[in-house]
Amino acid sequence: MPVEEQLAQATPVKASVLQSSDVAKTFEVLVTVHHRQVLAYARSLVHEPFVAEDLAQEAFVVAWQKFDTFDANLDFGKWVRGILHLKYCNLMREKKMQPLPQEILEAIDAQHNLWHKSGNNLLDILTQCISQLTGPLRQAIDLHYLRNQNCLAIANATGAQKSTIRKRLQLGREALADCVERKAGTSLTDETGKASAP
Amino acid sequence: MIQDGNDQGMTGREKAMDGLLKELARSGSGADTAFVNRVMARVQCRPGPDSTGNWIQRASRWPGTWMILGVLVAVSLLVISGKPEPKQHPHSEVTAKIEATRDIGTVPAKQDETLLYSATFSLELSEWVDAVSFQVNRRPDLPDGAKNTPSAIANKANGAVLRPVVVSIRDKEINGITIDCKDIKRDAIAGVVLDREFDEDHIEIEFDMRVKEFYRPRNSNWGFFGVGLNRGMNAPPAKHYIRLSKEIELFRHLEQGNWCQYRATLHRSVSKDGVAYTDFQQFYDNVLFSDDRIEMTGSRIVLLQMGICSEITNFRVRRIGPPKANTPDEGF
Repeated sequence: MPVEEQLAQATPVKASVLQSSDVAKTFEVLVTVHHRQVLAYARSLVHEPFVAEDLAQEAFVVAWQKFDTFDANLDFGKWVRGILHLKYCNLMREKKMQPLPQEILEAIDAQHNLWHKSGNNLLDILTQCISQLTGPLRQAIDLHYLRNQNCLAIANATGAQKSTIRKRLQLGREALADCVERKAGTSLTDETGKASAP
Repeated sequence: MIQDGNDQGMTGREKAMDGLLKELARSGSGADTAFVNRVMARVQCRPGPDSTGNWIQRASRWPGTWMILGVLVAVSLLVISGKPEPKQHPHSEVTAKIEATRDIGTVPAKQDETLLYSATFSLELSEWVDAVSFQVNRRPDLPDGAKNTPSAIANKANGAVLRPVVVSIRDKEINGITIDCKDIKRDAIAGVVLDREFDEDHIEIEFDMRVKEFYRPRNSNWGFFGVGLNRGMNAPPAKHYIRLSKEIELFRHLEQGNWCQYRATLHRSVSKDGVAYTDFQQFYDNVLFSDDRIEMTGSRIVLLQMGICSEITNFRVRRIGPPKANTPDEGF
């Protein structure tokens, strides 16, 4: 998505921003529009929230430093996520930590790129999707993500097996991913030409 | 190889959703303004006013690839005369102008040599400040190759207890003070403590700062400039250092000579585990660059720096709220 469109979608202020030569202001608007998706992407890669935030921040700083080379016809968020990807790989190498497998990384990249392609606020959509989730899956998602409980604690609280909780979380994530894709009008299977979910 | 701790068993799609869920749980669905401001503060900073003092001109450059930290920041303790009356003075203001004017220091060629440091500070204080103290923390020597991390320095178990050198000038003339800190070793942490025993739960401080030099402490590539609340003269907790250490990059971006105005709003609060914290915010103009939640260890304002040598002027303290009843005071 061209920068102009990204800005135009963000807030009414964007038009004036585009007319001005204030590069920093333009950059700030782009950061404002895209930072949550970049942070979400970082959280997909690393466990520690502080590390994720640092990665995201570093990626934006690099984006700023390279901003004059950015092609305004490209998707700014995707560009920054690409920078973050490299930052992540460097971090893992420096820390001598095992990165995620390449195929997983590629799948994460593809999924985020797809979800964010629509330009919708995915977090808003996700909130709606969670509210539509019911039963044990909803309970597991709520306790794990919104109340920050681990699987063992959830198992103890609900009387279920830990493995059951893990399975519920897995199913919950898949259900939410399906829901987000439906609402955002995007699907990876659509993209690849394969059969899409009903 | 160590794993990150992220669940390695998920598919890419699951991990993508996992990240989205975590991000939603962290900060809801709206914009995280503090994050945006932190980013923007790192990429821009408006030049501030010119310096009015001649702050720390190093006698010579230190040789070698590593630069020894030779930081002196003075410590001024602003102690209110008597108990503050927040209801009567909800927006009282203290202005302390800190100008370090010269460095007569010598540069250690070897790690064990002593850095001599001297600086002059002038302070302009309002009537409700009756004492100023200077503190220079120095860290004990660590052998070459020793772990040199913020946590190591702050960790008493590592033997890395900061030993403060405190010069109290209570009830004395507070302008034109010169202190000689003759035992600051390299890698020293220098601190400024503005101490007036704040009882308020919300304090706003504001100052102009510019970085004079960056150093690379031994065995490390980090540094920091931080501000927070600290009760005592000893080392703040490790968390304080760790969360602030990355901010060195911000100041590195500023480079020498750029004045920026910073403002820190310190809120006292209590976490669910009963430990008192302060919400730490600094911002330039309206630009936040940190809203880290750091452990609050007391009621004195502390400015600390390592890895940089900075100049601070126009320091102001403002109470922005009355103290809460039953403020937790344990666990510091």
